[in-house]
Amino acid sequence: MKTTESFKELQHKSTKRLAVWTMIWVLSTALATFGPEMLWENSLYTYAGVALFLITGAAMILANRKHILNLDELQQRMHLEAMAISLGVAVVLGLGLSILEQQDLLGFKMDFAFMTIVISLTYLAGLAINTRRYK
Amino acid sequence: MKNSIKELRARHQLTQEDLAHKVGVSRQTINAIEKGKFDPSLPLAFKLAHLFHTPIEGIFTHES
Repeated sequence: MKTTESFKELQHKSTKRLAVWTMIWVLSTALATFGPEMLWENSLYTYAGVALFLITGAAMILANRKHILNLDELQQRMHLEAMAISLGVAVVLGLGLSILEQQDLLGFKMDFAFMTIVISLTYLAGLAINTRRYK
Repeated sequence: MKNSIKELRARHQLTQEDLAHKVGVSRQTINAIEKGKFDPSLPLAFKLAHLFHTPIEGIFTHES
């Protein structure tokens, strides 16, 4: 039978692993984004930067998967519900804004970074609501 | 689903943290189960039954 000590240790370890890979991925994103503008002119380096971005992104996704699998059943449910909300909001809001943009009715330029922020905020809001609900 | 985890826990002089420790979940999960906000999976229900030396139906009762 697992103990909370090992459960907690497992959680601590997987959270730390996820944080480290997220940080590495953020740094590789910055390198791939700003490298061509500030560090180099050769497009070969840009390809290498994007490749690094994709590899570290894959590692972050795997670390997140492991983190979710190491949660207990209630925590997994809370994350699942939050993901359902953020996915739904991303699809509905994204398509809605896309329709407006096609008709030149959107007052701002919509890009993927905007949707990433929307997904992140709805995911965090979903988690906060669920944490409060199951408190 | 109703359950008697709180009573069984008190009888065995265990805190929520102790019980969580013994069955390998978070304290929040034990609290949510006790308050009837969350129904545990069968494996977790078996772990609780095993810990309290009680059959599952001695801990959980179905509410229609």
